[in-house]
Amino acid sequence: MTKDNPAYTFSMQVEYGKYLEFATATGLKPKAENDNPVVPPTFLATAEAWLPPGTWPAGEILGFDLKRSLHGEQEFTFHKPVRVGDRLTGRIWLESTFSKAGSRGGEMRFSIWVTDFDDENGNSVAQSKMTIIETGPGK
Amino acid sequence: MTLIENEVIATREFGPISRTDIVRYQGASGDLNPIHHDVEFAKSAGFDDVFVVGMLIAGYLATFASDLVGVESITNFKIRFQAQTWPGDLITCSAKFTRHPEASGNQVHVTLELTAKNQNGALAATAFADAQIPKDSSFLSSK
Repeated sequence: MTKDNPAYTFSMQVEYGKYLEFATATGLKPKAENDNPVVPPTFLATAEAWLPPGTWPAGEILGFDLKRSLHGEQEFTFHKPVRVGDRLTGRIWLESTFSKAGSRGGEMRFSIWVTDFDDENGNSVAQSKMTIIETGPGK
Repeated sequence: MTLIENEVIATREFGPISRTDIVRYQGASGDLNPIHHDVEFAKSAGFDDVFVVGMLIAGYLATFASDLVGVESITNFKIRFQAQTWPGDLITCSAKFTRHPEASGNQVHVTLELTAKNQNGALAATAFADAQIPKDSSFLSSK
C-alpha cells in the first residue's frame, strides 16, 4: 500500500462548528469565525468523522482486535496551516507493520498508518502518522 | 523572567477529567471506540473501568503548546502515549523548550518538550511540538 494506492480516500470540510466543538473539548479558547482560525495541532483527528461510521483500518485490513489494541503514538506535520474553511482530501495508507515479543508474553503487532491531506489544488498541506499496537492475547 | 532552555517554563492543569469530558471529545473527534465510554465493553476487554481517550490528552498538550507559542506557528506535533489515564484524573502539563541554531529570515525554530502527568506524578504522555516563531515573539523575550 502506498500514498498513491491508499486504503481509504475521503473529502473533509474544515467547519467552524467542528472547530468550536473540538476547541471546547480540548480546553482551547476558540477564535471568531471571520478570522478563519488556524485549527489546533491535533484537530485533524476529526478526519475520522468524515469516514463511514465504525471505519477502523487496523481491524479491517490487519484483523487487529479492538479490545487488545492501543494508540501508541501520533504525529501531525503541517506544510502550511490548516484553516477553518479549507476543503481537504485525505488518503489513508499503511506505511508499515511489524511484530515484537510482548513483555507479558504473546506477540505485539504494530502498524503505522499515514493520512496525507491535500488542498483543493492538490498541494500537500498536512500529514498524520498513527501507530496502533495490538497487544498479545492473554495477560 | 527570561526563558531558560531545558528548564520547565510553564505548567498547566486540565481536569479532573469527567466521563462527560471523554464523551465530548469522542463526539468532537468522531472516534467512538466504546472502550472509552462503555463500562461493560471496557470490562469485557479486561479493564476495571473505561479509560480516557489518549487523543484527549494529546489535545490538552496541543492546547497548552498553542497557547505558549501560537497555534499558527506549530509545524509538527508528536505524542507518545505512556500510560492510561482514568476518569477523575487531574492532568498536569509541563513544557521545556529548545531553540535551534538555524534561522530563516525573521523566524526562529523552537521545540517544546511536553509531558502530561496524572495527580500521582505518573507519566501519561510525552510530546514534542516544533514551531517557527518570529524573532520578536513575546514568547522568546519574556513570560
